[in-house]
This record gives sequence, structure tokens and C-alpha cells, in this order.
Amino acid sequence: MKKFLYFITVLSILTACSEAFEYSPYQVNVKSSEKGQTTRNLKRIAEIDQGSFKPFKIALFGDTHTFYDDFEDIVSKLNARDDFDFAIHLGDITSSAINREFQWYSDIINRMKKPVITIIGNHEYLSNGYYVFEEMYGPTNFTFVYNNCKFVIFDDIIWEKNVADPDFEWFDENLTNDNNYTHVIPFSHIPPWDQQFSYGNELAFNYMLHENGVEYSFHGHTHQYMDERRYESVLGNVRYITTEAANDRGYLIVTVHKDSLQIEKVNF
Amino acid sequence: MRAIFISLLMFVVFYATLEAKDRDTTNYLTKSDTLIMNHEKVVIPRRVFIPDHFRLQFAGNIGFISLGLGYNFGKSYELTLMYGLQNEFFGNSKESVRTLALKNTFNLYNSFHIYKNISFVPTAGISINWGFTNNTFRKLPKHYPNKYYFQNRVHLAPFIGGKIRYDFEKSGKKEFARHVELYVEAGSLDAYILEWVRTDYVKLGDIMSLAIGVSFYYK
Repeated sequence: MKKFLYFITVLSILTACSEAFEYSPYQVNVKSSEKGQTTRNLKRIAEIDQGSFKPFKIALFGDTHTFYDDFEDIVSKLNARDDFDFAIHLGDITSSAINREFQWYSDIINRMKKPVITIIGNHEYLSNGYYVFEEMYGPTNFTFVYNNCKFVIFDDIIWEKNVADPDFEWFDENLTNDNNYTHVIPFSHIPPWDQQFSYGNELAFNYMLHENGVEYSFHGHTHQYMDERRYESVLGNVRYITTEAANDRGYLIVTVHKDSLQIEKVNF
Repeated sequence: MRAIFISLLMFVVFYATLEAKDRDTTNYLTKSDTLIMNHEKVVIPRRVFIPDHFRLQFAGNIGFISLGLGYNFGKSYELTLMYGLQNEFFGNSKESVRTLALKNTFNLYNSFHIYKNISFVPTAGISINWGFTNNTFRKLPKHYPNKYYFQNRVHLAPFIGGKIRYDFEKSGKKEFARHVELYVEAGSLDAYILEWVRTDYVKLGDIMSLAIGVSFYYK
């Protein structure tokens, strides 16, 4: 009887494993079905692109880390509404950037009915996270155009790259309104006033936005909602907007009008 | 459900440590040589430093393949030092990962006889894993503020499983090993367990994975 009980326990645990073998929590081994998600989502966004400007809405959230229950709720709340065209996750999709955390994020984010763009956060740079992110999503700096608005996705992680400056040359170049776009809108995980930015980097970031005539900059990282013209007294009047973390149970809806952006904070 | 599982696991480990003391019949220190040199008696504890077992493992969060050497302490407790590797060729990972693991295995029961010289032993234990790859650290690099991140190099990995033991001695022939064991373990990782406890989303099956291995006990 005892023998039988042991066998049953062992057998039931073995069969319950969702992924039978894991070689290392740090492995860079992304399933082919989970590869290249950014490319796939950009394709879907391109399919609904109107070609010329037409007002539209996007949903923003970020810092889901391992708040999986709250994250699931955000996805189901967003799935219940149909008024936005796509969503952007502003980074920090994991906590330690280990294998299953990436899989759990991928599992939940792929329940979204609308396309989602995922930005890299500082936590994704731990261990081999960057390489997993690159396989699962794609390059960390890229741009795309939707309804004649240019979206600039920028990887501005510093410390986790062993204190390497972000690719500011790329950023400056791509912030240029080179095709009469209605808006050029940058998105990056860390806001420039964070302690990861040196004083020079902080001023450079704001300078680039100002020089290129950018009016809004969206970030995650702080786990706090903020919307202010942060450097008004220094240079320009760029509006910096940061999102809450997933455990604050909310998201932002940004309505892109011809001459301005309207930000609505939704909590549940 | 989770509380029951955790307390059961704790009980099993506690029970195993108690049992280890009771069943410690083969004291390795008694198997020693005595030498008399310059009128002084020198006791050389034989076989203390020579490992008692050799192990080869597939998967189990310490690499695609890992090799280990270890000691048996009594009949219930085994300590094995394992070195595991995963790279492009072994385990299809673009970045290579090397792992050092100190594996503590408890035999939960002497053995259930199955057939002739084949028996089954249920096991449980915990492994301490050091992972070496890009951007893992034990001590936070200096450029971070205090406690910005928790260390991400060392992980605790508990497991339960069982092994099929084939005893050579009972066959009557002289063999190179005392017995050989084939084991299967289901294990997890501290970071995964934390998410299982903390969230409803992560289920028990989501945090477990398997290891298969073979051990040779040559003493």
C-alpha cells in the first residue's frame, strides 16, 4: 500500500509538469511559436494602418513584473473594450529575467485581442534576459508608423548594460520628423530624471526631444503615474508621462488628435 | 492546498533527517587503517576522501547534462557536487550556462523490494545551484544603489523523486560498483516557488520540471 502511494504521488507530480525539462533558468531557448513577436505585431498594426492621419486611441501599461493576477486583469479589461487600436507595454515584463518568467509574460500578453508592442525594461537585462528578449520580441530600438504618426521605441537601459550609454545617436536620428508626420512620439522604459541617467544624459535626452520638436515622451519604470512638463524651467516644454505598475491595477488610454494628445487614466 | 503541500514537504525532509541518524549503521570512520610510525599511532581514515558515488544527470535546472561526485552519509543522506553545462550544442541555448550544484538527497525509505536484486527508493532533497552566465552576480556590482536587486546567481532547488536500484552484490559476481541507480526527480526553483505562492496565475505544474540521472555507488 505504501509502495503504491509513493508511486501515485511521484507519477502525478511528473505528469503535472507543463514543460517536462528545463535545462537552466538562464537558458536562451525560445520556442519557435514564441519567436519574433514584435515583427508579428507590427505586421498586424500595418494591416489596420489608414495611411493618412485619422484620430485614434492606444492603450499603455507597463511594469507588470510578476504581478500576474493583476496583469491578467489588465488584459481582460482591455479585451473588453474595442475603442483603441493597439497597446504598448512600457517594459519590465519580468522580475529576474529567467526562463519561465518570459514564458508567463508571453502567455498572458498573447491573450490580448489587439496587437501589443513590448518595450525592454531594466529587469530584462539581468542574466541572459536580453538575449531571450531579442529572440522572443526582436530588436530593442525600432520605429513604426501608424496613421501618419511615427512611434520611436527606444532602449534606454544603462546600469544593467554595465553602465553603457543608450544609443543616443540612433535616438536623435530617428526622432527627426523626416516625412511630415502628424506626431513623432517616443517611448522608453526609463524616464530621463531617473538615477540611472547621469546629469549629462538627462539633459541630452530632453534636448533631443526639444530640438526635434517632440511634445510628448512616455515611460514606465517609476511605478507611478505622472504627467508634467518636467524641464519647463530648463529647456522646452515636453510633457513626460509615466505609467503605474500592474499592481496599481490600471492603464492609460491615449487619444491621438491632430494637434494634441489626450491622456486618460483608467483604474479598476 | 499549497499550505498542505509545503507542510508535507517539510515533514518529509524533517523525517528524513531523523531517519538518517537512526539508520546510520555503516560508520565510514570505523573502516580505517592504523599505522604505527615512530611509536605513534596514526589513524588513516580510509575511503573518507574518495567519493562514494558518481552521477550523470540530464536536465533538472542545472544544465543539459551534468556530472557529479559525492559522498554517502549513512544510508539516508547523500551529498553530491555537480557540474552542469548548457550551450548551443548541449541544450540549444545561444548563451552558454555553467552551473555548480551542491545536491542534498535524502532517501525517504530504506528500499522497497521489487524483483530479485531490484528495489525502489523514494527520495527528496534540496540543491543549491550557482549559475554562471552573463549578468549573474552574488554581490551587487558597485554601480547599483544598495539592494537595487537581489542576488541572482544562487538558487535553491527542492525536489522529490525516486530511484530504481540495481544491486550488484546480490548477483554473487564481483562487479565494479556496489549498486547502480536510475533516478527521476521533479523539482523546482526558489524564484518559481515564490510566484506559485504569491499568485493564482502560476500553478504547481508551471513551476516543476524533471531530471533523469544515473548514479554508480562504487563502495
